[in-house]
Amino acid sequence: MRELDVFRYLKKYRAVIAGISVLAGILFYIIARFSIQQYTAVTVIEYTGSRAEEGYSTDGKKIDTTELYATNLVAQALKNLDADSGEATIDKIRMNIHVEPIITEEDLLVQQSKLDNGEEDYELNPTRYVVSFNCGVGNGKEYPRKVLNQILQEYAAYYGKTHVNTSLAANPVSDITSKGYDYLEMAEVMDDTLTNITRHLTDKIEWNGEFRSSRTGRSFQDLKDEFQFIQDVEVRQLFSEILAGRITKDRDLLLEKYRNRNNDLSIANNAAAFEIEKIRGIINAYENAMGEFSTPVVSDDGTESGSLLQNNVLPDVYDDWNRDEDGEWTPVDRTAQYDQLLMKYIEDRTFYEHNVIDSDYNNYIISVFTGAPASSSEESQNNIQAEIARLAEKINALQSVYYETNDEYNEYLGAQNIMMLSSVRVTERFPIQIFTVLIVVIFGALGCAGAALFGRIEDFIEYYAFTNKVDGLPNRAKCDQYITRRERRPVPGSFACVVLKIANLQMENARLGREAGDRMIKDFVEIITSVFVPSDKVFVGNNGAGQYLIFAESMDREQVTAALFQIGIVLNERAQERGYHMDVKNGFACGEEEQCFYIRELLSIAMKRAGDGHASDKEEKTVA
Amino acid sequence: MILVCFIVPALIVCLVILYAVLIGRFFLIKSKIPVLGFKGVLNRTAGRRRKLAAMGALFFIVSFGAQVAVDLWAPDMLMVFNYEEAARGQNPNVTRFNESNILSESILEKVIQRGSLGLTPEQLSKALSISTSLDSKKLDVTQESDLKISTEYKVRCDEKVAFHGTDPKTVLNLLADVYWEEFVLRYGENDSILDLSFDGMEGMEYLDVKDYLEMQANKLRNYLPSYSSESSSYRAKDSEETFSSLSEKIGNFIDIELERYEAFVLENGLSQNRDTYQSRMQYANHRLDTLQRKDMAAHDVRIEAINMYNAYMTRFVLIPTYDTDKEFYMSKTKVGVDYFADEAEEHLESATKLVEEAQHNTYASAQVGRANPSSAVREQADRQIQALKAELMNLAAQSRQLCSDYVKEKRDGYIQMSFDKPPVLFRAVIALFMTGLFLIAWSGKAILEPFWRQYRGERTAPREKRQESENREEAKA
Repeated sequence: MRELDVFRYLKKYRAVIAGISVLAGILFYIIARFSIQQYTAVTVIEYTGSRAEEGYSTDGKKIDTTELYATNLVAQALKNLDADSGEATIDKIRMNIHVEPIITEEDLLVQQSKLDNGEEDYELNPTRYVVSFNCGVGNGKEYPRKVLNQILQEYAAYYGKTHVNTSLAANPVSDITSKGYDYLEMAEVMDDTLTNITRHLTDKIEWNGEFRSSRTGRSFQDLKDEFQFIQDVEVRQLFSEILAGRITKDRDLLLEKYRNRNNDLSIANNAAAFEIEKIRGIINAYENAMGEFSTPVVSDDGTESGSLLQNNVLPDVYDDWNRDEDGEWTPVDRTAQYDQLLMKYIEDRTFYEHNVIDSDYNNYIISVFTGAPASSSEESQNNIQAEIARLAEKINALQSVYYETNDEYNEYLGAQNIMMLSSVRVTERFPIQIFTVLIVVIFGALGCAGAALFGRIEDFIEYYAFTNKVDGLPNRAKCDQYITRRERRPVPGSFACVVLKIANLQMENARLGREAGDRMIKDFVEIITSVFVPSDKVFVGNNGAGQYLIFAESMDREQVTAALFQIGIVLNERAQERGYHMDVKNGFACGEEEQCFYIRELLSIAMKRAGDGHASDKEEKTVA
Repeated sequence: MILVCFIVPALIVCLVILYAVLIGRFFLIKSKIPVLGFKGVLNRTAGRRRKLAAMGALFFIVSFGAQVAVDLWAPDMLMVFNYEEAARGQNPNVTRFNESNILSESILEKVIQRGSLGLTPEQLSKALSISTSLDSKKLDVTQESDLKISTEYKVRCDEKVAFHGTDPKTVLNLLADVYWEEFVLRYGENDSILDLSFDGMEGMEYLDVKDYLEMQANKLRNYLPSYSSESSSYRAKDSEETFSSLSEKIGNFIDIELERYEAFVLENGLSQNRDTYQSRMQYANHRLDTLQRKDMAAHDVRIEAINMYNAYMTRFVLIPTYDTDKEFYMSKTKVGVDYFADEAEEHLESATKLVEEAQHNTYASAQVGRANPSSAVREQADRQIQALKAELMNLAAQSRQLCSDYVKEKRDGYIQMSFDKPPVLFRAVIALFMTGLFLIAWSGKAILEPFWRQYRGERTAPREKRQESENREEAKA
């Protein structure tokens, strides 16, 4: 059997190894590029609210970054992007959004230092976060940027609306005409609504008077002025028309309602008067107790200076925050108990007095409508109804502008409280090119190992199935395989077929013994393989019938003749050395010369010549 | 023009095929190439050098020309956001900037509509892409210097839009126009508040007209301060007007002209409908009286509480502090009565305003009830109203001019758009490289040609001869 030589195998299979490696690389690249690869959109945000460094939003709630990928926000973002559910589901997007805090080494050092100093409650509250979104490449590189941008857009508006600008006046005027209210009640609802809106707007002006919407062109001051004008002029005009004309849908029902209001006020005032009386009692008792509990202050000369209040130092004066049973921190209320009692007294007394005044107003309305007809004329009712409808429409239109302005204000607040520190960058998640090179290398290495293994197995098969054990040459089956593989197509003109035969082998076996016969065969084979060296282009085999076949792909007649001549000389020398006699018959045929281009035909010519005992030119070598 | 885009890819494909053929031939005939006599083999190309040079020159011209032509036909568009807030990732109205809006569906729909393009928004969306110079850099969040907001965006339009009857440059131009308009509309300074409308004044009471015009004038004045604080020194080139001077003019309009008009109306007791007006004033005063009484009640209750406050409980400590002039001042700790006093004062102030308003209403109502103005007076009042309207319109126009000039100077149009110029040198290098590859391949082919012919001859001879013998046999038969 042939010796183990890895490089021989590698050389033999180098093209296959290279081909498979490159093919694997291409295949991997295509699959990875269109199926495995992902795009990652990433950006950095920073919470910049007044309490962000303590971990709180502006409204005092803990900053919760999971809000960023809340279902409602993602759904809203997808809706605004007009993305169909086939592209991505809400959950799929949520799963691929990641929000990670940025904690620097400096932060960790500060935390460690605080903990070392005994501040066990110290919490690290990062304000910067990396927000990333991964998705496949199917929707293109723009898709992740669009999705992340839109989600951040929605989040900024949501944050502004939920954690900063939480108040927005309601608008009960929107459907006022469709309800069964009396005209005076409708006017009252409008008046209250406008009062409420102007109060909200006044607050917003105090917070951010300079804000002006780009979409509506209005500032909160502009809106407040417009609402105020409607209230001062048009709603008052409406009131006066209703009252002057004593216009009502149902007088009795209206009067009953106002009388009932007075009853409610009277009941509420009775209760308030009772409470006021009791609070007065508590205040007096508290004053007396405080006087008695005071510790006398001793002056420098040792005499008591009087019963002065000593316990007026507030507890927990150094603590700003108290932790309640839920673990939430609340600011310490330092209001003295005495002041709290008086505040409650003021509150009740004011409530009582206001009720008395409201009762007077109700009496005024009752007095106006007492002499009115049970139901106003249809014409006056239609006129006032039309006036109310017109006014309601006007308020609604202005309210829409207010809401639009407020929406933009929320976005503004969101952007103010969540700053973008970096543009959204879209990068490929996996370095496909590097992986592809690795795959090529790995497949190359595996191919080399496989080639060595396969080559060795092939050697084994070759040896046991296709090798003649005596001379080590390819056996008859191998010769047949070689011939069969080439019999259907023409061979080139330079193809030569040589047949050699030891004619006296049996005689020498009988004369010198079997071992000497084997020695002869081995010597013979050694010599012919040293002249016709087996390679890709030269095949040397034993056909099992005592004939040695040689097929050379590029040899002309002269070369064959020279080779045979050389074999003859060497065989002669070897025979003399060994002391045996070798009678070798040969025959050969060259394609060009014979004008024969099929291997079987060439072989039969060569065999015939070898059988006749002479070669193509009737040569016969007998070696002594 | 779209065909020009395929020239360079076609040349690359040709080169690949050429090299594949060359390598294939080399391996087939390598045994026939004389290693020692290779110099002699090279000399075989001597006669073809001129032809080779001509082909090389042609190849270079075609590849270079095609690249530059494609660059000119389908250039990238650079959008530079040059307002101050852009570097903070914000729009001019300080909301969050979203660059994906450039290619949003609504924008693309408008682009298609304006250009009458034969594409759907989805097709156009696939043809357009946006990138920043930061995209190629991996974000390192630990490096402060790595945290940057891009203010430049490169928009690219695929050449394939040409299959839909348009070209990339046209699409990008349309996109630039539509996006700029949308951007200014949604995020730019909106001066629509200066579009004064007097429609609501129809049939309005004379005294309400004054309030209405005052409201409109205040809108103008409110619009200006935001600019005034940003650039108090800015002056209009033509009128030499500044924000503060214009604000002052509007103030004068309110304080002088409207006041004069009000005085005229009150003096003459003008009203559109005397009864309605008096009735309204009556109701208004009733409401004001109610509110005033509530304020006074709240005030009285607090005074009552202050009086109730026990002296024992009002111990206080004087503490050194600064006053508003940064002088030392001995202040004291606050107790409940201080807050009650503050509240009482607030309620009193509110009640006083209500009383004042009620008295004004009473006066106006009395004046309206007393007088019986002539038509000449009414005409005079109408003329005054017209004059006031005209004056207000004039002020609005001046405000608009001043603000738009200022915005133009400060924002510089918000976005600057430009098309990339072809990188001629880079393209020339690529063309030269390709030409080099082409010449190498072509020379190699020329060198191997004789050996290839020989190889072919050897391969085809047996077949031909076999064919001949078969023919002969057939002829004999």
